[in-house]
Amino acid sequence: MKKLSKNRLLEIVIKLLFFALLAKFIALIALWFLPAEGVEQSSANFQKMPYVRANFHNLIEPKKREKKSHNESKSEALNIRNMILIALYGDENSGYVIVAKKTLPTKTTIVAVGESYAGYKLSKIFLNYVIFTKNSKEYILHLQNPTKSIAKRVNIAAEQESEIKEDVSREDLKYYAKNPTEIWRDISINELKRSGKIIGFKVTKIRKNSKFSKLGLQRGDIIIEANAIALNSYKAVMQIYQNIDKIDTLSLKVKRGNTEKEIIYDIH
Amino acid sequence: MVKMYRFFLYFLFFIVMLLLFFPKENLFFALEKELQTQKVLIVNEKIDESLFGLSLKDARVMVEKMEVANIKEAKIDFFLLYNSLVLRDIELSSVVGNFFPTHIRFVKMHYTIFNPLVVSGNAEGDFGTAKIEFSMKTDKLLIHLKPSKKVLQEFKALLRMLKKDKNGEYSYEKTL
Repeated sequence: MKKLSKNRLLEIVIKLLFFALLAKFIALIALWFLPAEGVEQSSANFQKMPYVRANFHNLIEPKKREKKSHNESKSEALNIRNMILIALYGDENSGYVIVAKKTLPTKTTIVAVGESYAGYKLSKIFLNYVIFTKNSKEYILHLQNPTKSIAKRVNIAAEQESEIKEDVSREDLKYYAKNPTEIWRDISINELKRSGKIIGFKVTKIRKNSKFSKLGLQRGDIIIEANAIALNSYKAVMQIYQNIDKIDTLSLKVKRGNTEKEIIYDIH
Repeated sequence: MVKMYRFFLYFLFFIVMLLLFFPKENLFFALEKELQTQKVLIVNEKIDESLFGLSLKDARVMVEKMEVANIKEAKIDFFLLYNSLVLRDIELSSVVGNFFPTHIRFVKMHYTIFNPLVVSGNAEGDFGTAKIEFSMKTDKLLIHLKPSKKVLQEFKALLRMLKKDKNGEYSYEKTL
């Protein structure tokens, strides 16, 4: 009777040992298939060169610019909106035009096709307008004319211009950074996805008379780039947001209809 | 009946042994790799394996290479029939701080095979208290929030994103 009981106990122990070994065997198989190392942060991925917008005008004439008032410097900026086309002669590939700055219309300059004026290269001449190029972008400048129809065309030229400069106060930026709820009261921006990937951020609402309405943005604009960073993730947006108090210039690339525009904000 | 009873005991023993021997740390590494495909990284953590679980200390959570949270302590327990994940002292990034209170005291999530298609849990922090439910059947995440005074006064933009019910509680629903 005693022998039988011992055998029974041995049988149970052997069975338990078998199950323990089976469990260990399965665990070893799992160990074989599971990764041996976790994911580690690669510091290289987190480094990015800061965005710098080089303003060579400042480098060449820093003292002169310091003396100028803010309004003066804005009007003197190398912007095609500040240029007027007084006369043109030639065809698409050759010829001359007479241009001047709006602020000094009497001080005219003759520019030939292929030559540059205020950083803009004259590339083509048409019947009543010319095309300048700058940084691979085309700018249309219409012939100055007092009649209504031509004046309208000049407006179109201004609209087609793909670089807009705006000034932003750092105080405003600090205010919005401290009160983010005010941002969403004044502007609504939604992510825009294509094939499951963010391709930009669409402005769906701008409150009238708010600070955002004066910044050159329009309802329907798709912001695709900020300071040369493609806005294809929330990380990119946050990167800009986190550094907003450290930058002097914010450049937004915006898709408006079929054209791309660059809006540059000088933060002062 | 005795045979059934004996079989159940052996089976239970086998499960306990399996949980004991299973490489839990490596299982966590596999989870990390899976999260990485979703652009979520858990880095800098100190891992301690216990008999039936795993504990992490000082883990940093990055989403799309952007740090979003620091978790002082995380405890994962596997009991097969009942599994739990407890996160304590979560400090959210200051970036999130403009939209959400940054300190979360705890988040407790649990999964039991008696309700196999639902992961549920609760959380408490400066934001108030929340009940969390995730349905694996519909991939729907549901959060019931009882906001704190701080949220009611300072984070109105957050509340605008939530649905308010008759009891003054807020809910957030999203299909993942």
